[in-house]
Amino acid sequence: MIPPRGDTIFGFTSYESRVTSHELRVTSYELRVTSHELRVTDFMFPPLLILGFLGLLFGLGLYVASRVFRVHIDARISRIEHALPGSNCGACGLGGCGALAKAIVHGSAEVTACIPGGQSVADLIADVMGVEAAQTDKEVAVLHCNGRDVEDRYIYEGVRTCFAANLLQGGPKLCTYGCIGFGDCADVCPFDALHMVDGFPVVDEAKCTACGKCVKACPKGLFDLIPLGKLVHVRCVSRDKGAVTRKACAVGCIGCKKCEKVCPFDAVRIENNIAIFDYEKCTSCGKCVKECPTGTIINYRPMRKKLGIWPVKTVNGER
Amino acid sequence: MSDYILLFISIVLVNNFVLAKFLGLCPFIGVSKRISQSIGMGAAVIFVMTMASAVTWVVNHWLLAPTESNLFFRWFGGDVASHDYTFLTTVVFILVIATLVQLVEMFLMKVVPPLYDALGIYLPLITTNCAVMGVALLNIKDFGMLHDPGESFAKTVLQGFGGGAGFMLVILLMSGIRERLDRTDVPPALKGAPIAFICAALMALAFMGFAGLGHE
Repeated sequence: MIPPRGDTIFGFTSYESRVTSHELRVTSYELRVTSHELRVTDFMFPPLLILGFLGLLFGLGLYVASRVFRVHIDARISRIEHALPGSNCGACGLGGCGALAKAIVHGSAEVTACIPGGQSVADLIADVMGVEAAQTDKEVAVLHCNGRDVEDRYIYEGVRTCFAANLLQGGPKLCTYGCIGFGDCADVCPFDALHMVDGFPVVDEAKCTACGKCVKACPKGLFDLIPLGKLVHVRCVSRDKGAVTRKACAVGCIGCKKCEKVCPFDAVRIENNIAIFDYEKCTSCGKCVKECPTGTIINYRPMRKKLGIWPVKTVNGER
Repeated sequence: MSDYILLFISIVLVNNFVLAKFLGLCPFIGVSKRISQSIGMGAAVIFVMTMASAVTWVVNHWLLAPTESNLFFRWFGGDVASHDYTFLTTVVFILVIATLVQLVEMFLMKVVPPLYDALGIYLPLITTNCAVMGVALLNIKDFGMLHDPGESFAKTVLQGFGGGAGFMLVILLMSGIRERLDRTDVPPALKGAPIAFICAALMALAFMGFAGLGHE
């Protein structure tokens, strides 16, 4: 039986015509309803039931799901993440600072794994993990090319990136091993430590954190991360024969073997027409620098002294 | 059967959610930078859209719509038309979608953490994604009044799945284009989002060609 009704507002229905026994005042609508004819559907009941029921159901469902899919998060992970630089540079070989923090806590990475962070970050992380951090060797990016004045083989008019130019027969330069000079490395450097000076990259070793982005960006693979204490480097990677190299570049390695002969520590050898250093053995004595006829091997000692980044100062005065 | 095939083609190509209805544009621009990420986002949207369609249909059919199968009509009797609670559609559907997204998020965090990290902020954004809400409302509008509940449900779920598939198709195409754009010589003023918008507009223009599919 449906009673006659007056206005209906969201289920509130007024039955002014049927007031009988006692009156009921409901909110400010001043509705008067008869108690014996009260029906559940008259009091916003279904909407309340719908939302209440669904809310309860979903809430319980999510509670169960959160139990089933619970992921245990180690508190040390967030503390290590705070200690890390947070630039997500990827020098550690992992996806980012968050990934490294996880790897350290799970034991798959060393506390010294963050290269840009250096000793101070390693100490902070070691503190969180409750271990002693070993001394880290600070590294810098070293460019293994010095060919500033290499002529072009053809006129390149494509996209001005080394990556794109390299796809076109190894780039426009006469030396196909050397620097193309469009500055992909300077573009990726997150620490403003690489600048293009007259179309040739120069590493600002005071700012370089050895994050390794330039190593990945250079299509020729000209960058290497080498400990700051190593001061003598070959600035060429050309595997061309001496005559071919010399034609293209005045400062390229011609594979004359003079350095190999003069080295007292057996740290240099010529392989495929290029001098290669064994940095484990090299003591940066500088004898090969004087011997090199093309000036390919360069001593970084004066430059680093001037910058004040070498010799490395430590708290105890060691090294 | 041809009904269902046509429905699927229509929602994927002709009435594509992104390019024809302009819904779900935020993740379309936001997560289309890398193909790998867009696959993840597409899969998440397909899942959420399909599930949301199914659950919202059930809620609409049994609780909201003024039909014979409305539970309140069955329990309390009275006039069918008086049991019309469709004014709750918006709030109830948002509840359903938000819950579903929470569920997907928990599931991903546990089972596929890399995908969870890659989706980042965009997964919670599906909660308020108008494409998901759109598909739920569209389903009610298109199939809510069909007499056969089985057919209505099947078409609803298919439309949800097709909507997600259409979104995935478009975001995949877009991410392919944008990966290539990274390697091209774009004028500095247009780098990044502007050139992406231009590409999206051209894609929408191309997709308008599908509108002719229905005519002989």
